[in-house]
Amino acid sequence: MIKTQDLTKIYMTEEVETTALNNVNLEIEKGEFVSIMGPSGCGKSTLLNILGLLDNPSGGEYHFTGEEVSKYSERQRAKLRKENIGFVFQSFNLIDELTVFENVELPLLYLGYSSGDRKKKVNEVLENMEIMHRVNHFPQQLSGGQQQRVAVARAIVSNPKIILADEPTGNLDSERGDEVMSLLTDLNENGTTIVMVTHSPTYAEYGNRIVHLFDGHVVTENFKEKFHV
Amino acid sequence: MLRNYLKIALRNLNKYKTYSLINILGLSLGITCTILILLFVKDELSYDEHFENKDRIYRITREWKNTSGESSLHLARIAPPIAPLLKNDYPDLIEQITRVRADYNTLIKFDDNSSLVEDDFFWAEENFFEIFDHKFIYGDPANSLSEPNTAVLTESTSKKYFGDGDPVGKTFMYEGETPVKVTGVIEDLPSNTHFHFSALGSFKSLIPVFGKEFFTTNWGRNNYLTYVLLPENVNPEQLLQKFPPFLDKHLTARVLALGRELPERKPSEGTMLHLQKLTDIHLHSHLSSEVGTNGDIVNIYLFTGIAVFTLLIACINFMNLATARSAKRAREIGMRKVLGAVRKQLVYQFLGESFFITIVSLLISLLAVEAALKPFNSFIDKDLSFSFIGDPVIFFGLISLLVIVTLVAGSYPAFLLSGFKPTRALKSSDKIASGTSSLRKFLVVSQFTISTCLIICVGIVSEQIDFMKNKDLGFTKERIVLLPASGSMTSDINAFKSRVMQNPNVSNVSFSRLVPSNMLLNSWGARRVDGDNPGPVGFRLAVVEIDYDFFETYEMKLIAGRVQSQEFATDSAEAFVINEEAARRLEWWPPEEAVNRPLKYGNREGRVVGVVANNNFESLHNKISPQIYLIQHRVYNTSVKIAGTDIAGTLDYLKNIWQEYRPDYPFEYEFLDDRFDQLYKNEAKLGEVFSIFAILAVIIASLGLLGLASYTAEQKTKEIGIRKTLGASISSILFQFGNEFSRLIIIANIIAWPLAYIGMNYWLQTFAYSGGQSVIVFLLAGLLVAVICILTISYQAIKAAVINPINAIRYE
Repeated sequence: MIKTQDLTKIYMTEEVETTALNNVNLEIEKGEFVSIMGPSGCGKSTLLNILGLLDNPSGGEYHFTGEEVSKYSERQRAKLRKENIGFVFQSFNLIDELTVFENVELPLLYLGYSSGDRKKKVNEVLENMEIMHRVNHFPQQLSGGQQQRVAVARAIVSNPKIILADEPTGNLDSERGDEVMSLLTDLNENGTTIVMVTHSPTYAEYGNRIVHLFDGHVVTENFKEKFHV
Repeated sequence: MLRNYLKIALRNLNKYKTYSLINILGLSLGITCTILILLFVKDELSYDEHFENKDRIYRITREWKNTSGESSLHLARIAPPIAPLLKNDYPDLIEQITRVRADYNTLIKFDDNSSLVEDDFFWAEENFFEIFDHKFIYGDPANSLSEPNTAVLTESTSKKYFGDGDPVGKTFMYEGETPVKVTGVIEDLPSNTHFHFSALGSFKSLIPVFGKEFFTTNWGRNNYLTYVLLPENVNPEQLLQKFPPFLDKHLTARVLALGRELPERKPSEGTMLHLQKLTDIHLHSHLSSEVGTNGDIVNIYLFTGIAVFTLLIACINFMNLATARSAKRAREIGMRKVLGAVRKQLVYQFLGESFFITIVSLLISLLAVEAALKPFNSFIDKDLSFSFIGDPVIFFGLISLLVIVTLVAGSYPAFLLSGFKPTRALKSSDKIASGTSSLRKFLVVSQFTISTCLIICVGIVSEQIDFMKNKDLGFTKERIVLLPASGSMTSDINAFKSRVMQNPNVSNVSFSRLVPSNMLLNSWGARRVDGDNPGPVGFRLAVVEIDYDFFETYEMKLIAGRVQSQEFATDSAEAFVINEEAARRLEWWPPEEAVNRPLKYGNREGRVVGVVANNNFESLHNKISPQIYLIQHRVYNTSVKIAGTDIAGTLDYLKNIWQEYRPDYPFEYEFLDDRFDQLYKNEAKLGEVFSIFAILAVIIASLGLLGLASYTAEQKTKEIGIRKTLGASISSILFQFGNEFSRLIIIANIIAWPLAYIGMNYWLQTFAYSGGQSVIVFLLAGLLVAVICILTISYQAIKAAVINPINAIRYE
């Protein structure tokens, strides 16, 4: 599903050159749940952004579902992104001016779904997330856990092949964090590939593999088991 | 998707009400100004466009040159023989040519002995309506002016004379003597024509009055408007080329016929004919003896400039506030990108929002224009109408306005914000905001610059108007009443004068052909008789025909010799008084040198008896010309100088005497200083219109500033909190706020001052005499903008400065 070869990302500012990723080789197969761990500034988020086609690598190759995409244009990446990838962020990134329903509907709009289909799919996913009763609320009217559930709903509403989660539990208390983790685990069990960046060793354990990054390198990969049963 | 965009747009508008209000209010004001100005400009550009032959109609004008080659006079009217001679010499180049003569202050009497004074009575040749297609309501255009003593009236003139119904066949008495028969009625003239008449008499009626010879031989009476209709295939260049040989041929023949000596230079070197396209007359022609008050293309540029600037200020507000808010919307943009939105979609979204706001503003503006049109019309003295759908020019004009404003106002957020990488947009919203702050500063400086420029212009224009109203003109214009005298009083003038003088409130009475404020269009041939080079003086010496009391009435200052006096019997025909400028041009300097010099002027041979100081006889648009004053016994204008305080009583007295001497002519009077104010009416109007739009522009700019200041305050809340925690006082924070904006004001002034100076210098050059540009206007304009700015931002600054530091820090 995902394969990187000598993936490198260098940030240039006027005076300083920062290597965020240094020859990262990583392979993630369909159906995996990979946790990425590492100290602040080790390049976790950079890696996730590149994997999520939000950013281009400075060097190396990136094969996404068999295609080499590291040189893709913004337009090509946008297309690939909306059709295949769902994102969950630490800060939820819900749009304040849109209701729960409208936030979740947004990816479908960009995919060109008809209004009837959108309604059906959004309602379905909100039912699953048990947030249907909040469908017409605005993000500020929800608790953090509820907001993240909406964000997860938004990430999965278009049935993406892979979900990239950047510290999805970072802004939540442990109870809400557990909830979100069980949501992700459920999704993974239903076949969605998940890549999650986290600081929490406990939540990292939910994954079937933990990748440790340090100063832009992959230092260890702990395989727990090949797949969940 | 569209619904989604609309929802977001509306919710943003609703959420940030102040911003939205500022945007919409500012844009509405800007668009309203623009529409009003565009209506005005459209009307000004439409003059005489309604005539079917407009592209082939030209007016012939005549210019005179001094021997040095410089233009001494350019009249909009020409001598009567020119038209028939041209038609005769160049029949292939001229389809029709027609002469029109004005007859101002015409006394019209009716059967029932009632009478009135008609202002715009003209005489026109019978082919007039073949050139100008006026619509006839009654009568036949073909024969309407073919008989002597017939006239065509406009509809409202017809109503005024005869009431409703067909007046054809009815008669009125011209000047109380000649019966004139009505042969037709045409629709009232539209306001957008350079030549307004209320009645047109047949030209043939003039022949018995002036004699047939006058119209074929008199090259000196240049008061005939002459319009030519060129054949379809002839271009004006072809006719223009014929003018020099034409003048040489006929003027030479004329000189020879009079038995005079031929002058050294060819006639065409001393006088020339020109062609003016009919549709160019209103905005481009500023000749002496125009038939009405024309507009000016410079004002069209000025007003278009104001419209563009006002709109620009409103657009800048929009851009500014949108970019200031960009940080707030970065997350949305980032998220939309994460979800697969491509740049184009975001551009559409933001342009769509800007379109939405623009169209709402436009709708408000349409209502505002509807409401403002009537006062605007009465203000600019026009009858503009506004129909959004009915008029294709306005419709497409507004559509393009909509597109342009949408693009200008929305382009920055649309193109800049959509270009962010999603990761950057999601994370570093602060950096985005600070990245745009230099652009915001640039935009604010532009607004200040425009506002300052406009305020300076207002100041300079009003200074110039003051200058013109208060300048020492070289004579007294206060307390002088002008009466419309008439030739028929000539025999009684002395009796009339002594009767008027009996009133102790009257200090002087003078009869003269021209009075100050008139244009000095008349001149006769002037020749030196003695010295080394006897012969023509080589420049135009304008004549003012006066009586013995003229100089005393007007208190003109004598600088050498004496003025004409009844004590010297020969003064009546042989004494000339010239002005300083004439003495200088004749090189009789110092002025004492001029006294007693012999001079031939027209057919008078005499001597210069005195020199008067230069005076601005004409409007201050004109340079002081060389002038000669001589005694003339016919009565044209009566100037009465009132000495006492009882002005109303004196006017009553004058009225009674007037009715005794001219019972049939209504008593109409005018004060000379009002007449001078009239000369500068256009400038005064320009000044007022300028002030209004400048005020609006400043209001719009302040609105934007208000929004920006509240944004800055919001953005700086944390910084202010930290500073206060560290011990900063309220005043030091206020100072910091002020410091930031005052830098911008100073930069704006540095840019605005030279721009305004150059622009106003250009405008002041249309006056021969100007008060210049005083530094104080520039300083005051800068100060005014600064004060407005301080008032605008101080509320936000104080609010931010007094906040409890911990609230400020917690805010983030």
